[in-house]
Amino acid sequence: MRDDPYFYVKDLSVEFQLGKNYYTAVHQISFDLKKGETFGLAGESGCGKSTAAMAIMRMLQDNARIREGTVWFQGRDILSLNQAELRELWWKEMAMIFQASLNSLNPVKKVGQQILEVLTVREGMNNKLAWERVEELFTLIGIQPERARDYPHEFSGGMRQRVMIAMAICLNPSLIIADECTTALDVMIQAQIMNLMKDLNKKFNLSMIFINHDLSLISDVCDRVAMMYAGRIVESGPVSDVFLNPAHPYVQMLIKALPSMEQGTAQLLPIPGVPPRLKEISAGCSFLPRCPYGDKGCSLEVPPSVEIAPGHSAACFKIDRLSI
Amino acid sequence: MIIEGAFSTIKQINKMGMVGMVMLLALIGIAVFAPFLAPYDPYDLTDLGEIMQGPDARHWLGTDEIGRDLFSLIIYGARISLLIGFSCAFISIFIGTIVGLLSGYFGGWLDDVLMRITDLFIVIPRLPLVLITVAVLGPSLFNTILVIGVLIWAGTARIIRVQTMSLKKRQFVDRARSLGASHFHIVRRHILPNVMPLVFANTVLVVATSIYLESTISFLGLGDPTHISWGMILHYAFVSLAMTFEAYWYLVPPGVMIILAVLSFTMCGYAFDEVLNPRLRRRQ
Amino acid sequence: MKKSLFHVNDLNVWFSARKGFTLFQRNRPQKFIKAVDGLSFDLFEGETLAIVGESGSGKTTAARAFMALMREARGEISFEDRNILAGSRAGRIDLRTKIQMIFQDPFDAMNPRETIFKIVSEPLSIHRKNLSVNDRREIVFQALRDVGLTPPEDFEKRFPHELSGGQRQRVLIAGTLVLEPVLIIADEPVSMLDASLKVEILNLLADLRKKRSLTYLMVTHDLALTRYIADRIAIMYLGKILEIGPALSVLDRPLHPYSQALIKVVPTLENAGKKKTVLTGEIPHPSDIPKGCRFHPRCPQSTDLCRVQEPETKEIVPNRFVHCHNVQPRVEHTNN
Repeated sequence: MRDDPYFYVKDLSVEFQLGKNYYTAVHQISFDLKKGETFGLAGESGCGKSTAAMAIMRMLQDNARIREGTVWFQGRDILSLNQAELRELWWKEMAMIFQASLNSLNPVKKVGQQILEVLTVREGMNNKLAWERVEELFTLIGIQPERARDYPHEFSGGMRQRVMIAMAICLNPSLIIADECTTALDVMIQAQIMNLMKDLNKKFNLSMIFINHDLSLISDVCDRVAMMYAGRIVESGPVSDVFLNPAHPYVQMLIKALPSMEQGTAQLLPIPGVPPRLKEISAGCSFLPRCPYGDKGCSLEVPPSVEIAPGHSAACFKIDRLSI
Repeated sequence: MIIEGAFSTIKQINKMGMVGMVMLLALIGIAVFAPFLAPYDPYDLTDLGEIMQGPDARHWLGTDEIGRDLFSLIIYGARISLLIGFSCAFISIFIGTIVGLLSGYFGGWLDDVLMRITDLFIVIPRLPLVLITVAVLGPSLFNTILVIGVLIWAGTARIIRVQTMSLKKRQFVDRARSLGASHFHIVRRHILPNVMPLVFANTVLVVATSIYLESTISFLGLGDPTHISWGMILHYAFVSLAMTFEAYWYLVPPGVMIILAVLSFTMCGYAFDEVLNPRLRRRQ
Repeated sequence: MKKSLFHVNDLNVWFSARKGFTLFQRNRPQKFIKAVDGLSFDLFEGETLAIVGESGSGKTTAARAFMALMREARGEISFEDRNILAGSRAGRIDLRTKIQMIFQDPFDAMNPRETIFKIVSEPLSIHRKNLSVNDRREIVFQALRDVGLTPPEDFEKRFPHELSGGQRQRVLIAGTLVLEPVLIIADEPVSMLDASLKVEILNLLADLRKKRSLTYLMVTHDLALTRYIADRIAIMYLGKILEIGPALSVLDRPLHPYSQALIKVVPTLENAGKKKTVLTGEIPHPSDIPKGCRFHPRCPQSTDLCRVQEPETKEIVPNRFVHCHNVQPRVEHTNN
């Protein structure tokens, strides 16, 4: 067990500039990731999870900036690296897979060629060895190696996503950040991709930050999860703990509002109201307007994270309502 | 709050657009108030000055080869040039929008046929075509307007067609169809209102083109002598050998006015482009 | 015995794969994209039937065909004892008041320049032009109230971009109610909504069904949803229904190999963390449907017969139909 932590995020905040004002999209989120672990960052659209991912990868859009925080990865704070050091880091130590990956392939180049270029340019491999590696990767992702000579339009959506995964792992990074990488894919293809992820995790001890809005996928592939709401982490812990014994009102209500294959005939209950928009975030707990347990005390300060069980914590003032 | 909103919209229209609009309003003002602004009536042949005189106190821009006051000619010329510009644009937008709508909405063989015709008009060089047609039909205001209007609708048709095709795929059109709406209902209520902003923005540029084309026709001598546009003034200037006589007060003003007119419409066009397509707006 | 409201028999929607002037291609063999290929089922009054399928299954094309919106549709769709596809234009107009559609993308399904009132009253402007202003207002307001957008006065002058996703879908649902239909076809009605909002709309639909005596035909890819809201499920593949039956039966005890494979890969608490058994290959393109049973190339149970002959749809137990050679009708009556 190493003393030096593998990866953690501490008090990361990201803000957007709209007009003359800055609005915070991510407020002081903190979590850690152990080597070989799959960590889920979950939440509905607008909760800030994708923004956080972009911040970690230092790929924020022009009008967004990191206001504070640390992203510690293998002995260094990524946020302090310069462009050259970042370029070294990307693909080699840390790689990202997006939802938009489906359209990120160059349509006029053969698919294998595109992966080859990463290998020859970054690793200085010669073409022959690089091509062998490409074919190896194709076998790994479950596509016949001969298909590496085809063009992107000859692949289906699911296959293109798998090719993007191959590209992400071709330089053997130890950390993959996957942002909504199965959305817009059919459930069968989704299962295929999930299987592949699990394979890669086992074979290469690959660590992964898995960002998704679909809680069933999170519980399928992740070891631990952090639930986000309005830019903050409201609950985190082992996946089974968080989903079977949720402590935060939002998480509790969310789980009761999701159709699942297991449910009985009980009626599902929607969460009243809507999540706050970026400009509406104010002091106090951001879930208060929709929370059945909240009171005035919750509107003064942001609730701190409270430990409920080892490794399982939630940010709520009314945690004690649970200890019955 | 309304005033704030108006101001922010105006601020969004870029500086270029503001200048263009001011210029345009000035030109329209000149055209409308011509009788009040011009010291003489250039069509009154009884009130003539010395021929080919340079600028002086009585004739601020001098006189032409008949003795007409050029300053007044230029002011009244605004009427003709702008009138022609707007009329041609109106006809061409009308034809172009109908062709574009029919083509884009109905598709199929109608689209094929209309598009081939449109392609024809795009490919044929405009100026020679317009010149030859006017020469054959005989120079008159009516002919000029008709010919230009009928020959420059192709660009508009293309733009409208693409926009119509993209609108047709929107789910609100699907919804109207599923409700059993007639084609007329769909076009009138869903396609046209969403196409109009584009038409509007396009109009401005078509007017600029019309003014330019008319100026060229007139300059080459095919304009209507009873309605003197800036292009015609230039024509008369050349025909009267103003170049040889170095009568720059005769040659320069009409050219400048034509440039200003086309420029003002074009700059307005850019402004509308930014307002209508938010993606083009600069980040503030 | 419930009344069959909507009877579909051997529906085909075949698109010609040829483009351009057909004059010059007379000698080339006709190629068709068979989006819907031999679809047959009954829809009973008052029920919610979910048509489930992956992309390429033809479910969206089928939904459009049910509304008589596809020129290429052939076959029989009977509604109120009339074949919609063979009927007159007047018949189809009448149909458009009785069958309404809910669209997938609530934002795209609204004209961004129209107010909520205009959007909801559009069906009335098409079919009931002679209504007085007051009557029209009353009908629109009642529809807005029924979908929970109260008070209606607050919403009538707003524009689509001012509303949330859930509210927009409610507006569209209100739009389907103003003509007092009997059947509503919903094409992925909640797929564009956030997880926590889906159930709001689903509950609303269930409420409305009771309140206004509606029948629903819901097209979706989300199996978990169907468990919550559907009475019966039909599973579509390459343009045909492979299995149809009561929702819980189909989901808990699927009979067709495709249904079984599909249901097994949906992530649940039970199979969390484990690798799923995935079907080999991908769905073939509808222009190239496999001969024999269309599922045979990917079927773990395919036999020689499956390769050459298309199966019949058999009633395995009462109300459960399966399109497969290898599933035989059960003689004993089991508790389904």
